[in-house]
Amino acid sequence: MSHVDSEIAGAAHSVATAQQQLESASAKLASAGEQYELVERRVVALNVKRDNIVSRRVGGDQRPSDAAELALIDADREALAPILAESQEEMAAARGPVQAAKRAVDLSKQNLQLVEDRLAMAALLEHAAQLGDRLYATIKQLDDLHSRVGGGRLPWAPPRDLYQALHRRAAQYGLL
Amino acid sequence: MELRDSPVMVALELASRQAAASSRLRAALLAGADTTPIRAELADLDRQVAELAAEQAAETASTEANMAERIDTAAAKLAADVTSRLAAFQDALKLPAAPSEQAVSNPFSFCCVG
Repeated sequence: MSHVDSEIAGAAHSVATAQQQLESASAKLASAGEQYELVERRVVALNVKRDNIVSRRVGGDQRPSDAAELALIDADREALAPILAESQEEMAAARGPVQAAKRAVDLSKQNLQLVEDRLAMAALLEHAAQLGDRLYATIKQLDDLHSRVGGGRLPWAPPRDLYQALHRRAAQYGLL
Repeated sequence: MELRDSPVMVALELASRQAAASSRLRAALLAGADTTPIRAELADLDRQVAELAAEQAAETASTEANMAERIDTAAAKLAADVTSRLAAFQDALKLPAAPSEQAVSNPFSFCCVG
């Protein structure tokens, strides 16, 4: 594997690892959320059951089994309270890793883009050097031909934008 | 999955049954009663706890192996995409042929010397 290939592969592996970690962290958060909802639904169901019994009794329909049933509901609610709190804590704890994993995905993607940009820039620098050589050789040949053909001013000048861009570069490199 | 079927709840249930059995064993020991059935129950609970731990360890190992494979596959695809884009970019930078020195040389230059 060339240096370029291994640089791309390394950056791509970081992205894939970060994405996998995000997937795992998101799955854990979803699972914690489902677990919490499950316990919460159970608590809500018990509350509804309790409220129904109380409403019925307030309406005058009192049954001998009510006391035992209410006691059982209260015992269940009491037992579920710490499970509900634990589920809530697990869900809150699962949010941090998701945020961290999202940041890691963003950073690794930026890094992969940077690697790609650097390699594209290296290709462009080589291309610019070749273009410069070609343009200079072309101008020299034009001048040679023009000196033989004659006829006033050479009917070609670099476009203004090109001239200005080249002028700026030359100034930056102290070539003027 | 029902709440009671989740591995955490199963582990909690087993731990609770172990605690209860240990308590009964202590009471039976103090009372001089036969402890054989309680010991058998405890041994069975120990076996179930070990099985659950082994199942979870196997599941974790399998998940990790799958994860590594998925990462490698995704990384290879990403790297191939970048390499392909760069190759296309470099292809687009190919220059036309340079002007030939031969074509513009002056074969009659000797005539004008002096």
